[in-house]
Amino acid sequence: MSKILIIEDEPDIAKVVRKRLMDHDYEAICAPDGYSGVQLARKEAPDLIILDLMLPAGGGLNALQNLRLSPKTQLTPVIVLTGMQDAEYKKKVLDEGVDAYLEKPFESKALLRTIGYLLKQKKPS
Amino acid sequence: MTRKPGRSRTSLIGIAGVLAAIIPAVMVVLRRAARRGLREKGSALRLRTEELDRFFDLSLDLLCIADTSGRFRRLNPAWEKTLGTSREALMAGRLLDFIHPDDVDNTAWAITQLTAQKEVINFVNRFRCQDGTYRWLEWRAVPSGEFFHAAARDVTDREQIETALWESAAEIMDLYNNAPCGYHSLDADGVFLRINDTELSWLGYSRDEVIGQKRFPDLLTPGSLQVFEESFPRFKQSGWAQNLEFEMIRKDGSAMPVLMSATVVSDAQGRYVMSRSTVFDVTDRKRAEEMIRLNELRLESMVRIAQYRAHDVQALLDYALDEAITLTGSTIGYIYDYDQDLGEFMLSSWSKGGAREYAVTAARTVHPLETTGLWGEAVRQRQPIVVNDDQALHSLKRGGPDGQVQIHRLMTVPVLDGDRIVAVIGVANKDSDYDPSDVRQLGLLMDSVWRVVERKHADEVLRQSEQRLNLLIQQTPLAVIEWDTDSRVARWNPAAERVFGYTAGEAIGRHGSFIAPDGGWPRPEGARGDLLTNGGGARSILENVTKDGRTILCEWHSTPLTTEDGKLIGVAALASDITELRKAEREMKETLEIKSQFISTVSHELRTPLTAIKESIEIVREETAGTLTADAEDFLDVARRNIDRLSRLIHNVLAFQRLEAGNVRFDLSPQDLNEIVREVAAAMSPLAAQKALEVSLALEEMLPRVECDRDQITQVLTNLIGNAIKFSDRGRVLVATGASDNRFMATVTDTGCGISQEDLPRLFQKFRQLGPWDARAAGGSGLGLAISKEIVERHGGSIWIESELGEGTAVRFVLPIGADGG
Repeated sequence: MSKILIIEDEPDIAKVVRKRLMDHDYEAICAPDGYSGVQLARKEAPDLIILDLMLPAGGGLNALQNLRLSPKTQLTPVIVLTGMQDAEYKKKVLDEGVDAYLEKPFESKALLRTIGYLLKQKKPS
Repeated sequence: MTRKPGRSRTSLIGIAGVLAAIIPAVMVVLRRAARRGLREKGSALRLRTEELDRFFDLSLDLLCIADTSGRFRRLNPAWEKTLGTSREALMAGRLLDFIHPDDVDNTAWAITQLTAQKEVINFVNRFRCQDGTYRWLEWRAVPSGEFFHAAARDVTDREQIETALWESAAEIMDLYNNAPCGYHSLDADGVFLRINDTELSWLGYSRDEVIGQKRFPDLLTPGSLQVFEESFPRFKQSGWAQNLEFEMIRKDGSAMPVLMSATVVSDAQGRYVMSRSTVFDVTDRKRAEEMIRLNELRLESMVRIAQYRAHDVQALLDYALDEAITLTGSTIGYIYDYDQDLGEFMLSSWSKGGAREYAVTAARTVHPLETTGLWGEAVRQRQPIVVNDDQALHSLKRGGPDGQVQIHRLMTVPVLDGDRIVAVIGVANKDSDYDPSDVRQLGLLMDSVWRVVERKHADEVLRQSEQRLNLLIQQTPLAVIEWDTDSRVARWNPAAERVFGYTAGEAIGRHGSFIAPDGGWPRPEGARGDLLTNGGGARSILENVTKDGRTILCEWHSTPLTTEDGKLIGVAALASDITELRKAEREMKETLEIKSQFISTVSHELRTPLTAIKESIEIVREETAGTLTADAEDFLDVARRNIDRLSRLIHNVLAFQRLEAGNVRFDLSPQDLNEIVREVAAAMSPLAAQKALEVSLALEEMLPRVECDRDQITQVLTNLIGNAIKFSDRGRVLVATGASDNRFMATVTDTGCGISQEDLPRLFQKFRQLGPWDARAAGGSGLGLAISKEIVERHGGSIWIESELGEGTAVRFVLPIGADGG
């Protein structure tokens, strides 16, 4: 069973995403801020990370950079799931290297399809 | 005047006297001889007779004895010597035969006297010579019975002298009487003793009316009378007077100026006998002098007018008119401006006299030429008009400035500028008649005045323009500063004082560095150099320091001031303090950034709960599928639909905000717009199908490709077709494309409710939905058209709507195809 880390400060969002993932037989773990998200990712080594950008304690970009720095997480697929519209910030995030970028409000089908795709990509490697 | 021969004259007394002394002596001798002859008879008588004959023959005078019938009985040889005629020839004829025909009557009368035994003395007649000429003879004859004895002397030479004298006297008399000057003599009381014809003719009197009848002072004007009374006693004492000026009164009452010089004629004791005066008529000279005086007056007037410190042309004209009135001895006057093109008069100035009252009401009233009376005549005739005759005045008077003022005499003169009549001046009511000299003086004065007026007018225009410029400089909110060629302040207006804090007094003369930060002077020479090389103005934004030490930001516009020959005399600079403006701009930018940030944040903050709600509902729907009542399913749909709507709204708000903030980069590439239309139409078809609407296409094939951002144009078409579906309940939505004039055009037409004319202009405003649309609860952000407009315009195109309420709506947009389109 693939393990997916949700780094999301909004508990309600985390809750509905977790519900969707669990319904589709994924193991879902949650972190409420960037710092703890990175810590948890290093500890748990999830198969995929869903990352919000507007986060307390470091913010999404900072979290992403830290994830990419750590050998344990640097190859983990990251799906950004955000309501942020700041074009410059988005560009920086994309430059850092993410596997998918989804805007809120998201279509759960699209999210699940993306997850499935990314995990399938990951498996052979 | 010639003398009548034979007339005896007192002037010959002296000469006759000599003769009279001789002839009686001869007679006495003759008588004594006769008496002695009676006493001493015989030889003694003969001896005496011979003596007498000897005297008789020796006499130089012509002696004869004749009888009263006029025949000579005896003649001495002097006759033959004097006349060349032989005594025989004389004796053969009668005395009267030899007398000049003019003298025959007198001579016959003299013989009659002698016949009457009366002596004839000093009788003169002309006696014919042998050669036919006549000699003047003066006779003395005494009667003696039937005989008379006569002695005649040839006085031809004397007569000729006399005649010459007489003729000379006559000539002098003639000169006296007919001299071009007057002559008269006055006795000690000033009574006329003599007066010549010339003076009489001047005065219009006959000689009899004057001589002994009139005193000279009787013929003088009161003014001259005083001169006479002062000078006459002095004249009698000194014996002479020279160049006294009098004004004499003619018989007809008119005055005549004369110049008089006189000497006193005295008797042997030096007592005054009479004056001898010469009189010159100086009317012409007086007239010339008057002309000179008037010329001088006019010159003085002109000088006064030229120097008159009139504050405007009007004041100058008023002043000139007063001068003209004074110069011509008039009492009232006016000046009318005349517009030759319009043929209209406008009262420009009027005298302070009686016309003032009337003129005030008529001032600046326009009089067409044809309605004017006498005073317009000067323009109609293009020459001065003088009317001294009341009758003529009344017949010509019509309209105009005459008003209630009684005009007795009038002179009106056109004022010419080149050959254009520019004004008419009129003066009236001189004491005496206006004459050509008045016309001349007024004309000359006004010609000069007009030149002054023209100059004044030009000055005035210049001054006004300077004044306006000065006001502009004084009142403009821009600091106006003029630098001299040493970069020192030459001009400093009030706005400069407001901007920099220094008064003009403090600033003028200072080097420009005093308003530069740290005492520096940005490009002191360079600025000028730039200006010169640019040949025009320069704009710069500089930091400056005010008097109270504040640093301000100023925008400068500088222009070199050069003379016509290109010499730099300074730099004119306009400066405005843009510190506040910059601050405001900065604040505005910050505000916009904050707004943008705010919208971004709010949108984000909205999205998060929306996402949670949406997902929660989805989860509920999926997990309860088939277990809920139809109602419950329906309400979950309502919730989901409204979440979608809210999502779209947030999406649009963010999209528009990005567009407006310029944060969207357009990715331009040639696109087949028909293809985009087909895609969008297909995507929208399900929506249309829900309302039983048909989306039909009328696409012009072979359209050139259009340079555009595919996603953005897709957005535009989605908005427009979406609107058309949203606002139509039946019928169809037609999308048409076409191209002309290198422009692509798309039209989305619906059969919906339409839009009223007054609402059309508001459609493209943000968040705008109109009444009837709202009533349909169509749903939407109200941003669709605003976003579409923004996108189309960013592409260099335009968008507009044609619609009528109840008639459907057509939305059209055009895009430039571009040079490489197609």
